[in-house]
Amino acid sequence: MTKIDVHHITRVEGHGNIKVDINKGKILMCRLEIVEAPRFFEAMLRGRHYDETIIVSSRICGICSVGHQLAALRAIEDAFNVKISEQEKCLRRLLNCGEFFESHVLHIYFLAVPDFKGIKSVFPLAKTNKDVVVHALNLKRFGHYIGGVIGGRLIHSTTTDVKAMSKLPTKKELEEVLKRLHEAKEELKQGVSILKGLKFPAFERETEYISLQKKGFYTLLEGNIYSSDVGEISYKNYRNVVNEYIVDYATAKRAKHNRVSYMVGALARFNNNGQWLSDDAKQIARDLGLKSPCYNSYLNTVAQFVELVHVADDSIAAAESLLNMNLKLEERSVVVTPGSGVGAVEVPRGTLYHEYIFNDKGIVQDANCVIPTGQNVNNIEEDFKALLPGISKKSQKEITLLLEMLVRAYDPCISCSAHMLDVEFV
Amino acid sequence: MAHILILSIGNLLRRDDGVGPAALKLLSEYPKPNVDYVNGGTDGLALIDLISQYKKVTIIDAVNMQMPPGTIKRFKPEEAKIYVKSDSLSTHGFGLAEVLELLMQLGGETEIDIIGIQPKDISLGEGLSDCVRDCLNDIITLIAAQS
Repeated sequence: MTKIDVHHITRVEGHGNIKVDINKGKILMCRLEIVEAPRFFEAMLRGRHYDETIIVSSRICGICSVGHQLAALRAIEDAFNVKISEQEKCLRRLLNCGEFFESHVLHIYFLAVPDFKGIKSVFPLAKTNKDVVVHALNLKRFGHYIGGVIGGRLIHSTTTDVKAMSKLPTKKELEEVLKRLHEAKEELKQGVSILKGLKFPAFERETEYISLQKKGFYTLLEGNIYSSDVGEISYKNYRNVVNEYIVDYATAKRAKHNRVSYMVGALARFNNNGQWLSDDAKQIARDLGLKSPCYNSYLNTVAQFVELVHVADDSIAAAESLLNMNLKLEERSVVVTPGSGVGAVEVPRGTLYHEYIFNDKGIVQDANCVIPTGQNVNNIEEDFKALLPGISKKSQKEITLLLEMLVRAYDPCISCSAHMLDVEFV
Repeated sequence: MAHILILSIGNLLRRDDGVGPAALKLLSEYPKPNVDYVNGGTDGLALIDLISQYKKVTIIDAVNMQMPPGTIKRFKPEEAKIYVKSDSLSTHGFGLAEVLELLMQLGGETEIDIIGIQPKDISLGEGLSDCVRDCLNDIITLIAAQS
């Protein structure tokens, strides 16, 4: 009999437990328990003016704060039929780039790499592989820089507003951003040799992959939903995709669509939209042996690295476009109409949905935020079930490590995934 | 860029954990050439780069020193055993202890000292305890004397 009880998985955001019970090769229990306390953000958003949703929902996450702001903006724009300029689109692409660098670099190097080096954290890594830590910090510095220039600050940006970005970068700042983007791409080339040195566990389980899609683009900030099982679905019908439900041993809502589980995140985006990555990102994927479709969830970490190259290329294009524009502070008019709006964006961990119902004064009557990690929890458990029979003869320590690595590969942000239920007593 | 950084750490929503930002707010009303004032909030990892850019950094933070609440103690990281683990003094996993440890491992050249203030109450909520609020002037005097 093998029992695994990992109380609070380390190197993930928030608190989750792994509980597994195998007897004579039969899985008796296999759970990923999310034990974070609910945070009531949707309730906090009710009664707020529409422009406050950007500020309040940003606080859901210190890592994906830009993503929440952009999802809220998209939802407001959807509700009030606000069109945004090319200038605004380019600025948002740059801001998002900062967040992807901060988040993916943190996950790849600080949370995932220690597993492959047989160490518990980044601290021994700084002793044995100082060059890796310095390299990671260089990439994070870039993310922080670009977030600061475009967003005022990277975490909880102060410039995003439904009327338009409240501050514009100067020509000199944009030139510096462009210079640093090219430097970041050079730095990423060093990362290839680091990633190549990591031996990822062999594992395959095909699942449904869900992401946004806009044909011709490796889209992050617009488009419809795409399922590898059923194809395109309007972003407005996201509730029919996520189908949230609960289990009695976790505080996070779960999601399922065409099967018992689906996957969102870098690997899902790579599988669905990989043909539209930049040329350099495609080359890096080939160098790292990542081919679409890839059914090994452990390789989500590699897909994140490939995305960094693409995001850098996309941001170079955005920065060059901005340098060729006559930038001016905008002030879009917002005509409030009662109704609802949906914002769907890709954040580092997967597809994020915000939906708001507004009254005729633009006050939020109801809010719904669906976070990527909640959508992935079922898929992680299904991966556990597929993985365990093949590794059940290994030692308890080895099984535990493989399960923890699998959870970490999804880069879960557990704090954000905990929601309270709406209940009605009759 | 200035040579000296006065850096506050702490969460204003965890009562006395916000003593650093409260002191910094008062200090920054009296700007000095060559001194930058930054509220580092609670995002530990981002501080590594920031600290590395300065010759000298003074960090103001609520520190559990097992001393009476309101006690102020100035020390260098190497003078104390700082435990690397997340605890309730820092709401994020990568807190000040982790920043100092990583800076040490990477061989940073910045001279760091810490002004630690023993908190009384770090539960959820706003505002400082009386004994911690009363020591704000002493913190400012201590920093003003050296920078």
